[in-house]
Amino acid sequence: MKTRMNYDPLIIRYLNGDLSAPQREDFEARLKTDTELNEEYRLHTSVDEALQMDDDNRFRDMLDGIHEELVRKRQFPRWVWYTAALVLVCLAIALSLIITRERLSGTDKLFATYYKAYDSPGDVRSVGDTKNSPLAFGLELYGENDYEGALTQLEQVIRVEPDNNEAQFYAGVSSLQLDRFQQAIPFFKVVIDHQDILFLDQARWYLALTYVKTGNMAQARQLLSDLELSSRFYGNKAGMILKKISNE
Amino acid sequence: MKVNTYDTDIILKAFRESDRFVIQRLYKENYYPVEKMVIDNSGSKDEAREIFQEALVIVLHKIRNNDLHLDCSFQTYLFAICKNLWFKELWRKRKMWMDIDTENLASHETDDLYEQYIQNLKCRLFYKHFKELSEICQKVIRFYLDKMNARKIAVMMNYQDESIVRRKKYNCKMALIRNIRNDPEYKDIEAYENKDELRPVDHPVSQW
Repeated sequence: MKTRMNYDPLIIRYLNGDLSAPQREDFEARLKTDTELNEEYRLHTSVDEALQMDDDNRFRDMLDGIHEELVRKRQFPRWVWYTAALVLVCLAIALSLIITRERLSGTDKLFATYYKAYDSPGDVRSVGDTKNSPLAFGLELYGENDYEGALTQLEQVIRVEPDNNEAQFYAGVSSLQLDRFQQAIPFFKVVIDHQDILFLDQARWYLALTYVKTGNMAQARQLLSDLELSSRFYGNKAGMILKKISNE
Repeated sequence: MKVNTYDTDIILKAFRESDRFVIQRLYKENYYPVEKMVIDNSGSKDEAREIFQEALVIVLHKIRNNDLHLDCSFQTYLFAICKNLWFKELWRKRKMWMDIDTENLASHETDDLYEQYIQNLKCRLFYKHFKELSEICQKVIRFYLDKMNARKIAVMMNYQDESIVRRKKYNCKMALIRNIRNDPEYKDIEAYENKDELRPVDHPVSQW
């Protein structure tokens, strides 16, 4: 096997101008007779020439840049990204809507099925002159379905008589009628705390429904269980709601 | 601006001025038919890219030398160059013979273009290996090619003395030459240039 001579150091020194005059002459003479040296020398010079073709190399760089960009765009065109992003956003929105709706629809449905505004006390003259009694006036407004007015009047009563369970209870139902669920909760709680037998079951029932509506199922379950055991009027309905809640 | 790729004047101007916008449009509109042609004829995407880009370099040289004479549209001409170059490449690389397009490109012109293509391919290869060197090596070689003396390079590159620059230059150049020599593509081109009998000049044997 033919061993290749390493001419590179000599060629590089020659090209760098590092050879003395006699050495240069000798090298140039050998270039004419030594084919292998000549071939190696041509490689060195053609590499140098190629690297000095700045315009061509810049043009090649530009073409490479264009090609990379083209391939990248073809693999993932911008519209694909935009469409994918849009689809993902739409899916996320749709999913969150479905989840919220599913969660709410169950409790909303239960609330709508079982909720009915508590009957008006009817003849309120027994509580006194409606013009001079805020409670009577409040109940009158309640009977006229003016729940905003009723609530204002009943809150006035409660400020003076916090133990007035009738005012507390109707204030709570008025709040529910106005879709102010969180506002209704304390009114019913006061009635339950007072253990007023006239309004205890009603307060428990409406508070349980309020908890169902607001998604506070643990507390709703507790109240409904109590009602199922103790209330003749609300017991069955409470049991049915409990069954539905546990099925879900 | 919508580039009318049939408007030769715009194309010539774009090549002379390296107008990236117009060349990009040209590239986009002409590359994929060439890629398809190469792949349909036993080639790869990389080979298609090489053929297409070097065809554009050939066009650049022709425009620079005022040697571009079009008897057809630029796109047809470019495609004919790519096709004929690839068919010649098929012979060089795989010993497959394909009839070249003589309708849009004269046979002798194809031979000339192919010789130019081979030279360009070498330049492309040398430049590729140069770009793969370290940044320092590229700088040192570049400074030398710009005829900058060792002392100035030492100052510019913060080296203590010229001997370091010389050693650096020697090592970098040696690395470049070694990498080129070891590249199979370079060996193929060398073999092609040194063995005339490989060239399909007269009566090639069809491999099809």
